[in-house]
Amino acid sequence: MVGLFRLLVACVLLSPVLVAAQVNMPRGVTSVSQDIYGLHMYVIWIVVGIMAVVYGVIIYSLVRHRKSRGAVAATFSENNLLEIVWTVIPLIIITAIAIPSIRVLIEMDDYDAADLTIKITGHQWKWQYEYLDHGVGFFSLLTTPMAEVVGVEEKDQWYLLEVDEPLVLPTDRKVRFVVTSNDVIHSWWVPELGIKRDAVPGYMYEAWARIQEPGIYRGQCAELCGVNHGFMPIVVKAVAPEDFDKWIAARASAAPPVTSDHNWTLPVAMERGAALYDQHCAACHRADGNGMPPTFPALRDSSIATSTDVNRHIDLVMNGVPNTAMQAYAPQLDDEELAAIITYERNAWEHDTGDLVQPSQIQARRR
Amino acid sequence: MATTPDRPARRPLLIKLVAAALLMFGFSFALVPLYDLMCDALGIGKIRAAAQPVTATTIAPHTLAIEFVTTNTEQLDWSFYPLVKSMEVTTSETYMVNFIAKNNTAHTMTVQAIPSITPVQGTEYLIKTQCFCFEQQTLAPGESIKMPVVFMIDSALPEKYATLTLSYSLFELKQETASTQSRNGEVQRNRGGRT
Amino acid sequence: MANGATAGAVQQNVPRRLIAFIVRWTTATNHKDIGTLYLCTALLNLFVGGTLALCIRAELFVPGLQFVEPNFFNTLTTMHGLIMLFGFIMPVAVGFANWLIPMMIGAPDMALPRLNNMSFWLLPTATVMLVSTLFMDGGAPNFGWTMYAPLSTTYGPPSTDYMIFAVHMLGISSIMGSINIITTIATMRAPGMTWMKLPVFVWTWLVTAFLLIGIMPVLAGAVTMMLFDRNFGTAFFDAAGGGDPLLFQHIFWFFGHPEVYVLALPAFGIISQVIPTFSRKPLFGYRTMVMATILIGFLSYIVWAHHMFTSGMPYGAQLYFMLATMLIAVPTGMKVFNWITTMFRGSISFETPMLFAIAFVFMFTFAGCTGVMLAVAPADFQYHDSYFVVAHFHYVLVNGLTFAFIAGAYYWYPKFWGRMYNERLGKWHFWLSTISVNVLFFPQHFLGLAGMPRRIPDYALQFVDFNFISSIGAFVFGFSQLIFVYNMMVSRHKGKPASDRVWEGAEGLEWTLSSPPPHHSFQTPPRID
Repeated sequence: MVGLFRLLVACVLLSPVLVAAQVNMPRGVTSVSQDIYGLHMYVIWIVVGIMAVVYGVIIYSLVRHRKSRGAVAATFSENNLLEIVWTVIPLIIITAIAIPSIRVLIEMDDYDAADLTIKITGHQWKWQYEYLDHGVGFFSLLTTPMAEVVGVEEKDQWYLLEVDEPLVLPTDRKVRFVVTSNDVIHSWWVPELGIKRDAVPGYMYEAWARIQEPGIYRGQCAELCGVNHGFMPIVVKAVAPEDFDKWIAARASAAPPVTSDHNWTLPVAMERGAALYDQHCAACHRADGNGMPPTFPALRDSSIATSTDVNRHIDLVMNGVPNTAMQAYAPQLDDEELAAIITYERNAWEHDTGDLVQPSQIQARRR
Repeated sequence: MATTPDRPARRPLLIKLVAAALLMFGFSFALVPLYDLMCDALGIGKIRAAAQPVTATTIAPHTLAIEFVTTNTEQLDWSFYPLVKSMEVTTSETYMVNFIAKNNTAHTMTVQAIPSITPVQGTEYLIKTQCFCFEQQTLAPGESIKMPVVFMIDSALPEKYATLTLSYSLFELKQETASTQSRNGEVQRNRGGRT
Repeated sequence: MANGATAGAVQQNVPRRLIAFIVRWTTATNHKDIGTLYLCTALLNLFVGGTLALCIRAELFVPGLQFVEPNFFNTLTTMHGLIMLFGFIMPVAVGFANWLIPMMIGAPDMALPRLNNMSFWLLPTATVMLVSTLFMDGGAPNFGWTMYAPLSTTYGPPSTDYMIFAVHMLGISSIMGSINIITTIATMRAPGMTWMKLPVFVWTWLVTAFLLIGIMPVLAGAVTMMLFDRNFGTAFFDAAGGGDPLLFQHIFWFFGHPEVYVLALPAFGIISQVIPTFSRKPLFGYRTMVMATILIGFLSYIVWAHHMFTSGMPYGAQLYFMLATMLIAVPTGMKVFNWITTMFRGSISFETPMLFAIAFVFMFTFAGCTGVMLAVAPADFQYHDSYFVVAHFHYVLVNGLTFAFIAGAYYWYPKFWGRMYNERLGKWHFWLSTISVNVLFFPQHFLGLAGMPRRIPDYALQFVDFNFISSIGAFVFGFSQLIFVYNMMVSRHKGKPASDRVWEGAEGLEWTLSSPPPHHSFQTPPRID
């Protein structure tokens, strides 16, 4: 309880700074997002005008035509002219709203050649980005530690909005996003880019952006996609075109992480494994290994993590369990990462089996 | 009931009720073409639309870029990729692209690739004369297969679409249903395992 | 309705009295009894759904995970939505329809009393089945009340099949109720009660009943397809078999959007009865009111895909659905203007029903305005699935419709039971509710604009302040509803006896009956000139 209050006080003290600019839609950094913002403000002012008139008349009537003031009811109940007038006025208002809206719709409906195509794939519960023109691809995962979520540690400024690897994009170039999903429907939403695009399994839809200013833009998954829907943020890092070219060249030529041919020691594997477990596994199986039964079974004291059959454990993590929420991790993680996670699971939470899984063991079980 | 209608009054009512029932029954059949109209208007059911060739036109050909993208759904441990990632094509000409699929798992699996085209408006102009997406693929562990797509873009495609992306999503078909369904030539998928 | 037992019953008679009580209510075919059953069930479900809502707001009080796991949080949002829609708002409207339509058109009862009994008893059965999923292995449905495939098909918990069955039963119940209402209005009107003399409440329910008959089979179809996809190997919503997940959304919203008006129209009807009474002036523009109701009913069928602007619809479809949606503002606007003109130059007094009705007009107008904003397709790319949408539809459903139904409850309470409610408590209830409900939902607009997605159990730090304020509002609003229940229960026995007319400005056939009205409302049809 004390922790809760301390957290509360900290949040309330910290938040005015964050909140100051956070009562309205962001203007954003693309022409589309700015046009949306302009449209939004335009409609808000129209709506405020309507409400001022409507509320004005109601309040006037309530004040002036009160029985307690001795008001005597009139008896009129029809007036054709009046009724025509207030059918026509809303029609005029919606026309006034529709015309600029159509203009922005046309602007969004742009299929000119793009300088760069990014494929975005929604996964339960992470985003995968692939630079189709450069052969670069990676997953982007939440890095906020579980300790911050459950309130053991102080929350960071970008709590729940930080990832291990942001999507790096160039400014001033037309970027085309093609969006699909691996499992259920997700939605890729970055308010400052003015993009919200549903990721539908089996189907591909597209969006585009031309970012005007370098910076870091954050968003979240907007379509309920299961347990950890609230824990799959999006971070876009926009850099100058020349910096982007340098970055993508370095990223493309970086040696693929083939690290399965060396042996390592238990402390090294455990340290690596603890961090990776927090990132990939703790969302469902929890940091303490107790899981969330029955959908997400406990690993602590489970037969798989404590039995002598290490290969069974390895296969389960690599191939997943069909028809359950347990994914296959073989296509997602490299040998060393898998070895570290499995080693961690076999030694954490007083399991202490002493089993040390080597990356080469994982490689051997890959086909 | 307050009133009991006498006999002659019942007949018109009966006729009306029977007529209404027939009308409703007929309407349910009329829904089939109505549904097609709605799907065309909204871009649902693109796969069927894609299989129907658009009549050849006399419009002058133009060029555009076409990209090939693949997605493995549900973390399927297969390798699945096109041999070329993108190409410049001229409309009304026929092209072939090969895709490679390899089963990396330890057991025999049956999969099917489901196509999708973005922008949606391009769907009806991309005519596939041969496509692996029409059939199921069963591969043994470690086996791989080269799968061709033969396609043509209709010249009627408006020139504002500078790039078309042809996307394939690879889905696993569960063993038992895959075999039964290949008999009646339908593609379905078992969802029962979960409940 | 104390025709069951006498006050001095002896101890041994308790089981027999209990049996008599159960038999009396389970076999009830009287429209007032069924109406009472509907209203009580709705009230009970309001508190069940409200409790779930308070759990949600408790979790969102501060950032971080405190009380519930993310999976249970999703269950909470799903069950809250389903129970409030199918268990509270729809039954409360049907309850008023059962009580009032025969009295308003000068009939002795509903046209099909036994059907009426069956459509009611399907409701608690289905609701119990729905709530029972909370205690099942694997948890209750956790994919949101919108049940989007494939999250609800391939990835749904086993209890989803129970939910589907419950939805089927609710659908059958609604369809039977609608048939009953249409038949009653069409055939049981008193002599001289022509169509254009029907009270607006009856008109709104007539249109609602037609909407229900149109949409409930569509929902049944959608959930049946879900059931087949889940259990029988079909692939309607599964791309792997040539289906399309978006097809589910189209079918669902083809039900879902008219559903909004199914809930709203009866509330409009209640407001159209309450405002003239307390303005002591006939309703302005009766004909426009009726036309607007029919027009809203028609338009609601052809705008569904505005719930799916971000799903990848082609430009042409976006354009059409944007413009069609905006058109609904016209008939809705006509209604609001008519209510205001009814008040204008009236002789207004502020009894509790009128207070709630005025609050309804204020807050529903506001909700309508945010609705116009949401209709703007390009801007919807920012609003969609954010808390802005949550705020919008809660302004419609809570600040709007629920207030209208509360207004109706206070308005007809003296007529139903023959005793006045406690006016002082009513005023307390009004002011506490009105203030707290705005504290609850108004800040959520800001949260949505700032980028907070809906249905998340935990949030980033820029959303802290408004969530905190919103949760405080939620608890005050939730507990202030207890005043209402207390008032309703105590006044049944302790309230001042009510006159037949009850309100000085009340017009309509129901006010010509005694308070409480006789068992069979109009034994001999009244003459209307």
